[in-house]
Amino acid sequence: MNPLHFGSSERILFGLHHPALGKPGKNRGVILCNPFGDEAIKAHRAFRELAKSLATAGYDVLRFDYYGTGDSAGNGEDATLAQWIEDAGDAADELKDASGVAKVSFVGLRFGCTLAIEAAKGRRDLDRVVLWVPVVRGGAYLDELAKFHEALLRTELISRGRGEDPIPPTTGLELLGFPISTALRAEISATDLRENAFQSIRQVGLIASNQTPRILELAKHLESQNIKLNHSHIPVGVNWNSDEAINSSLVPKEAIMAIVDALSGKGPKKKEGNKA
Amino acid sequence: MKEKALLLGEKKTLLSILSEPEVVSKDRPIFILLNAGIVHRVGPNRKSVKLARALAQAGFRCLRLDLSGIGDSPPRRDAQSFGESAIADIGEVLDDLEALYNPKGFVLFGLCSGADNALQVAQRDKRIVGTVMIDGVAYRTPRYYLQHYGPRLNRPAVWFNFARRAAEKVAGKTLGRLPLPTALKETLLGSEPEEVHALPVADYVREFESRELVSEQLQGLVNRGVKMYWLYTAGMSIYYNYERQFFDCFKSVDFKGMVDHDYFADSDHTFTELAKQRVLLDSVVDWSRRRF
Repeated sequence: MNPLHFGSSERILFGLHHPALGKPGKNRGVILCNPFGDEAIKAHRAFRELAKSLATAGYDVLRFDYYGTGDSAGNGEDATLAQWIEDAGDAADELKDASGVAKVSFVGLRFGCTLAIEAAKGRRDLDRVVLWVPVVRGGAYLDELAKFHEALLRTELISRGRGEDPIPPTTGLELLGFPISTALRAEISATDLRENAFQSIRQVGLIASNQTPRILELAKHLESQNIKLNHSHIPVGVNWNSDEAINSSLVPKEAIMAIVDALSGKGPKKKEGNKA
Repeated sequence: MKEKALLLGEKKTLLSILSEPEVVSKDRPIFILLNAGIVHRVGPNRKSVKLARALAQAGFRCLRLDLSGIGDSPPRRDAQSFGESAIADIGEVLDDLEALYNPKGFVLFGLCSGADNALQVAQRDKRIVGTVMIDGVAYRTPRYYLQHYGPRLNRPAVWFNFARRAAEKVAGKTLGRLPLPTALKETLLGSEPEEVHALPVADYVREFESRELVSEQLQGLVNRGVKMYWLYTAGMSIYYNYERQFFDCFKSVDFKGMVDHDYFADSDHTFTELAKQRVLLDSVVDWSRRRF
């Protein structure tokens, strides 16, 4: 694992390159696209384990932080969607420079799926895109985060130190400890993967823990665009963002295996049914 | 301000990010921000990144470190416990930074378990000249319990129940002395009343050493000239709930003006609200400037 800084001097990004293990490698690179805000912190361990598994399977992998997030330069208040998409593209170029791989794939987790898709569009060196429990509708996602934000403060403060003082109403400019500008909020709200034109993306892996109507609609949308879809349903064993997962050595192994399979073109494993 | 990634420790496997000011003053210590729980080096809410950069702007080198087995640093292979491993890691990192920069000591910053690690290292390693500890060790005091249970005393129902139970107890004692069959007594008195239930106060979330031992450790640090900044939040109201409780906990210690304290009565444990994060950062940077 090699830490590195890349990007322009005004926008220095931090990444960790996991070189392919074993010889020969697959001559393929994988860019891991973080979720938004608090989910990125919680995903850190799962992404590290995913990167290790992919490197063991022969891929060169780059984990990185978008501008204004994690170890990269900048403040979260200044982040924009366009900039994050550009960052993911720069990360792919950096991985190709660092490793010499010919083709790249993007793996996104939660809102990182939208960024993976947008960064992958139009790339001639694209192999495939994997969407891990994607955020399908940005607006609904932000509404959920706002509810969690209020609930957290209520639990943490009203029931403890603040007594009966009311929790100040959510300004909408911060979610679970992370800033979100009005512009970024509007950009995220406008996203809906069910309406996304996937353009040149021809192969997509979809790893979902729940077969919600939105996920099924997304799968249908992907197939309607003649995309070769590898759809795995991994019921939640260890949730990647649970408190249990972040405070222990638990990792979502089944999901990680499904992602490795999806990148190598293997179809989802069929579960044995009851034999008559 | 610029940043670089370093692999530190004896095996050069501990991933760290060093934030450096444009101009570094040689008479200043290096700050080391420790992991909070097993959150990686960016810290809860990316707070460690913001703090490291703010300290670098104020002229301090500041290192954010992943201890063995946390974030992107692999576990040690020498079968040490987590506590022992953390102490060994930090010692090795101090060796490396000392060789690289020869600073005037080190200041450890930790939240929760990070504060516990900071205290353990500070008392063992004389290169530590300061500590910033958030929601570190403390003990409940009589005033803590008053703060905790006091608000209940304004409720008439609590006094009514108290009076009723007291009356039952007196009646029970009188009746109890009479030579009546137990079954009859129970019929007249009811069965043994429940203990008065107030708000439950759970045990400490972490295991702290005895107050006597920690008092000795603190006195040792003060005598050595270690400057300490102890901060607590409402998120730890399980054992801390009023301004300056710290000083009531450690009455036997002569702090000789070496200790600063703040209580964030309206913040949760990880400073979720951005406004609280800003207050915390300003407080720590201000303390650092004043003390070093």
